[in-house]
Amino acid sequence: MSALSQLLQQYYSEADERMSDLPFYNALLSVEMAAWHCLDADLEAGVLITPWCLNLLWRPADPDSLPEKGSECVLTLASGEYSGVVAEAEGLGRFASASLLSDTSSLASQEQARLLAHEIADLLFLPSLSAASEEVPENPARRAMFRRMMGAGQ
Amino acid sequence: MAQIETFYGVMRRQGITRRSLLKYSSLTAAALGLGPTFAPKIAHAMETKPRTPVVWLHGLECTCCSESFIRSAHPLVKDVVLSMISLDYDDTLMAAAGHQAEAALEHTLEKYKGEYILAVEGNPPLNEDGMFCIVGGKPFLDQLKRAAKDAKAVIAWGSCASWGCVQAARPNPTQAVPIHKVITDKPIIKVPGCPPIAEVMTGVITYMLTFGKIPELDRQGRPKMFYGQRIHDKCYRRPHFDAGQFVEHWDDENARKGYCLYKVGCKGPTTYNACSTVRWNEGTSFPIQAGHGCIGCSEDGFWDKGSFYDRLTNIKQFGIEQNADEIGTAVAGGVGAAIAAHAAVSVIKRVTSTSNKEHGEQES
Repeated sequence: MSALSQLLQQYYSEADERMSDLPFYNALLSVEMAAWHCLDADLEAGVLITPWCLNLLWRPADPDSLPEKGSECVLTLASGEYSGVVAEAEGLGRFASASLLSDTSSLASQEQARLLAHEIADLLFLPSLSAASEEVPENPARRAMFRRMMGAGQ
Repeated sequence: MAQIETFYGVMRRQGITRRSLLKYSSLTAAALGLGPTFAPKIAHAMETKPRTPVVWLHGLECTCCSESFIRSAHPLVKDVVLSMISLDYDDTLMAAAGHQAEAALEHTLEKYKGEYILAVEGNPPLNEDGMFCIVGGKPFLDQLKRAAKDAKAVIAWGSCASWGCVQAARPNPTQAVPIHKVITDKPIIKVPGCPPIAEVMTGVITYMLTFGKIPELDRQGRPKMFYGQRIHDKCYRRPHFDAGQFVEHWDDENARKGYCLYKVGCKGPTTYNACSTVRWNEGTSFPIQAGHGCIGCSEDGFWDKGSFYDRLTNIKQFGIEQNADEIGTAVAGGVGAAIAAHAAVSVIKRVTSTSNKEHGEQES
């Protein structure tokens, strides 16, 4: 777990008490960052479980590259493009959030929520993670030489 | 079928260029939540398909649906869609009046028998044999039944036609009923809202006229492309809800910070509509953005569900249709990787960006 994911989990854990008396609250669940990936140097993303929602969260390395709080933003991954809303929290700055589930009442245990979250994370992130690993060239210097010869990057 | 023009023929006659048609097609594809690759398909259909007449009737209503419809965000949308609609009969928008108008309706129903789409704004009162709503000297109930008899499909505009709305609220002295209580042998596409969003109305009618079929509907008869998600799901204040940050009282500090309006009565968590995505007035705003909670105007019986300012205490009270969230049940029904995988696919569709959707794919 990265420092960011821990901070996010802490941020939502602090909301738990404020949400616990609302009809959206499923007492069988608890706040947990079920999956978290550093997709590349510029982007971290994951799936959060709470007793009141299941969310996709992400943040670029430069949070200020996100539009202002409340704006729509799009996460582009190898698996597709996903739209969410920009959130902002004290001490965290901006990050993006997309609602995966608004009604968690049919999730009967944390284990079920975790299973679902992991499946979602695999579908969302694995193609990006695979592509990133395939992109590591065996001989970067040789690839760079050919790129220069072909005029790329000019 | 009677010989009628293509959409494109009508548009050309009204001075709309092909360039404008292509622009319109792109706008429509976006409004329908389809990928940009769908625009040429719309343009092709409109260039080649004959125009489908639409008869628009008004029962007990306030005309807010018509007012919304003719104020579609893009002028081109309004021009094009209005040119698609046979104004042989629409007692608000047509030029004719009196006996001439009633004759025009009868002529249209006969000429395009079995081919026209019936759009209904408002609803019929059943009490006193329908005498609480008289059109052309006869009960609207009779006009509705007559027009529905040979219609290809029926659109219920707004919450009046879809659910009954305020005139059907308790004690409902006129016994006003939604049109599906009277028309029972035809598919009815419900486009609820008080009024519905202009782009939703033009989007639905364009889809039907262009592709000659009704859009995919949910179990309550609403087009999934616009009513597939709750306002809550895409609300710009949603991050505050998720963080437990609520407006506790009107004009408190939290209101000024733009926190979630759930505790002051917002019905967004139980309301299926496109307000938080399409928005109103050229996409400018919607009630929650203006600082007032959603009143749930597109949900069945919203007038009889208590104060607009009381918080929801039972999130099932609006008769939420289990659609996207059924995945939770699927998981609960049997914990298995295959079931969870299937559920995960359903969930991901909800957050997939519109611009990334496959050809013709709709919300599920």
